[in-house]
Amino acid sequence: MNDHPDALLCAYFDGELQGSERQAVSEHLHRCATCRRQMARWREMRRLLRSPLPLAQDSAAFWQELAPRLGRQQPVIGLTWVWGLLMALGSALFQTIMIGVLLVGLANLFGLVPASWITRLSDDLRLLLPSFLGTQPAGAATQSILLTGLTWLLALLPVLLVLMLSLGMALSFLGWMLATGQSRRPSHLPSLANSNTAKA
Amino acid sequence: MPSSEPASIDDTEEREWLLAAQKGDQEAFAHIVMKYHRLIVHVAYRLSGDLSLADDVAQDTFLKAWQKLPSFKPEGSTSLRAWLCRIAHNRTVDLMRRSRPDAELDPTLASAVDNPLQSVLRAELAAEVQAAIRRLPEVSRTALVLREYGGLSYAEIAAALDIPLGTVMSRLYNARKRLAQDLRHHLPEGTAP
Ligand SMILES: [Zn+2]
Repeated sequence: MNDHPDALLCAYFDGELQGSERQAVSEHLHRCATCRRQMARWREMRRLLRSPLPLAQDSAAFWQELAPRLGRQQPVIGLTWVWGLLMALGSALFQTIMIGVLLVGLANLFGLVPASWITRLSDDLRLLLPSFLGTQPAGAATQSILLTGLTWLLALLPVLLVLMLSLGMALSFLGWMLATGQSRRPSHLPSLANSNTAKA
Repeated sequence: MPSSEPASIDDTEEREWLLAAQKGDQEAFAHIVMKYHRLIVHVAYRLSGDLSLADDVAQDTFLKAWQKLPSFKPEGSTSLRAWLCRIAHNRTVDLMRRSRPDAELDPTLASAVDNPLQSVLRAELAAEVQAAIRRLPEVSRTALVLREYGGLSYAEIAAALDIPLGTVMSRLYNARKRLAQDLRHHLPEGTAP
């Protein structure tokens, strides 16, 4: 018995070979009657294997039984849902904080924040920052820079915060779109009730 | 059974059902279930030889598929069909190990209706084929069933069973060789190589 391409013949039979391998098996088949017989037997065997199987249950009845079980076991929430929800929650939190800061900023604009508060805040910062950075407490020059910076920051807060609020709202809108837009099915897909496209 | 059909309207529709089902649309999922129910029962039945176990496998397979659907990504050698077959295969193996170690052939297989003599002969042949499949070593049987009843490509079988492509090829060859030997009375003349 010469060398027949056994396993490769099997792959050839399944249409799984390409290029030179396919070519080689094809040429072998031309020469070899044994392999041709083998292929004929496999074809016949495939026909035998395809004998119909009487199902205990048709697919529609199967679905009727399955559907109530799905309801109790919701699918794991998809990643995009999680992102949408996180974005909405995150931006809500962000906006709450921002509104608080905005109120302080506005109060400062109308001169309702006493200058002594700002001085005390800059003083606290002067003492706190170096301990974070691991250096000596800053001198008077640094304190004056901090004071100026804080005053400017407070003055600019309203503009800054209006920008931030817009950004927050845009984010939460995006989150909402992501969270709700997904459960919509393309409208051209038929409903199960009026289509018999489901193949048994 | 189809394994390498070109992308068709059917595929496009399936992709859309899949996308909708992944977002929790049960009706879209129903279409997927209706499309693959028979295939899954067939695979489970051919692996186990037990129709009622195959029904249980189908229920469990689609339930699990529903839960895992949002994280399923069809790409490369994991088509929806291959993914479902993989779940069904694992579940069949589980259930077979757990309960019925060697199930008898299901009698419902022989309950055909038309010409009594013909149907008896056909049922006998079907039972003989199934018995021959059941006699295959488990690894060969699995490869053969996924190929012939699941309609999976070699690459999909390799991915589903986590084995190299060459192993798929040799297991299938062994399965066919053994099966041809077992069913030789129903096959054309030929010497087994
Ligand atoms: Zn040969």
